[in-house]
Amino acid sequence: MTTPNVIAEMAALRDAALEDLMATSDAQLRQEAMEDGEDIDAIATCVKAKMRETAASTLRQRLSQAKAQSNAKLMVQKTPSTLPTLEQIKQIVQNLFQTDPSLGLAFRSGKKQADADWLSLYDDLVVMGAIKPEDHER
Amino acid sequence: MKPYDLPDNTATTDDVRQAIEALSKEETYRLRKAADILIGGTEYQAPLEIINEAIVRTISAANGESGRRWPKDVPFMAYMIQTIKGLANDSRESSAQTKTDHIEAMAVDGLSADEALGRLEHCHPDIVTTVVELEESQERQDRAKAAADKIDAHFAGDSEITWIIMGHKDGQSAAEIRELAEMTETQYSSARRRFRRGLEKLFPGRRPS
Repeated sequence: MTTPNVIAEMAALRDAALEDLMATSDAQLRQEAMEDGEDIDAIATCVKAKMRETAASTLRQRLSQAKAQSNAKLMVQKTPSTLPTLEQIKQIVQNLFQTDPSLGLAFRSGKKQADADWLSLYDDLVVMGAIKPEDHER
Repeated sequence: MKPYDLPDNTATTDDVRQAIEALSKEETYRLRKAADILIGGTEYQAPLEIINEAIVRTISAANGESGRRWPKDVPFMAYMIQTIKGLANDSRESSAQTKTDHIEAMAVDGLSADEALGRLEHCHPDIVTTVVELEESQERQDRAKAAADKIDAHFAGDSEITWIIMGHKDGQSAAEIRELAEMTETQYSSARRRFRRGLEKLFPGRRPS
């Protein structure tokens, strides 16, 4: 069957229109917008805001996914046989805070915390790379 | 931060965000107009939808995942327009279309795609789906034909634009069209502008298939 490929022909017309758009000067584009009753500044602001928002939300989503994967890996690593005891964790963290006081300031100096806080603090410091879990395996 | 397995000239996520901020109002407006021209016959309902998809793909690639990589030596505007064009083409070349093209390629001399389908019926596991896809493809061709007829009719009174339409449909270059139509460069540019602007008014909001 040798019917003309209308879809390809339409693609060629779209390309011609696009070529013209790209060859149109900024001043001419503003003139056209004015003639068509379009507010170029308002449209551009709206489009850019949406692009900015999309970029940020995509990045947030990807970082959140990466964090979830990292936490999942950590959970696998933390089997009861390899995780230090709670007393050991307290000792490790306190030693670390003495070695690097800035970490202590960042993590509320490590005093009077619940057991869950100690575990969470330990996890955070492992994620940060300040503690290497393999150095403290039971 | 640049993921370690990307080529050196790949834009980072920060590069992409900075490039968005650096777009002038005219460039941003031009990008919206380009998307408007390119979404015809695609799944995208609005220019912003396809622009956003291009951003999602670009950020993903910059973050080391699958997506569309922006090589920094290509200007951001040019990259965005090519990406939008690629996304629009991908959308038009849906799996249904690809399968239909495959069936049509299998048709031998004197045998239509329908007849080829008939011969395949004994072994094709999902013949109903394929027939539906073929019908959808035919519908798309019909829509494109209707749009092309509308364009031809609209510009019938402007001989310069008619030359441009005919020339581009035949795959001729701008120089060839100018020569055939005996148009100067200025006349050609002016006629092509009238064509684009006429097209925008003929299909407001959505471009033809």
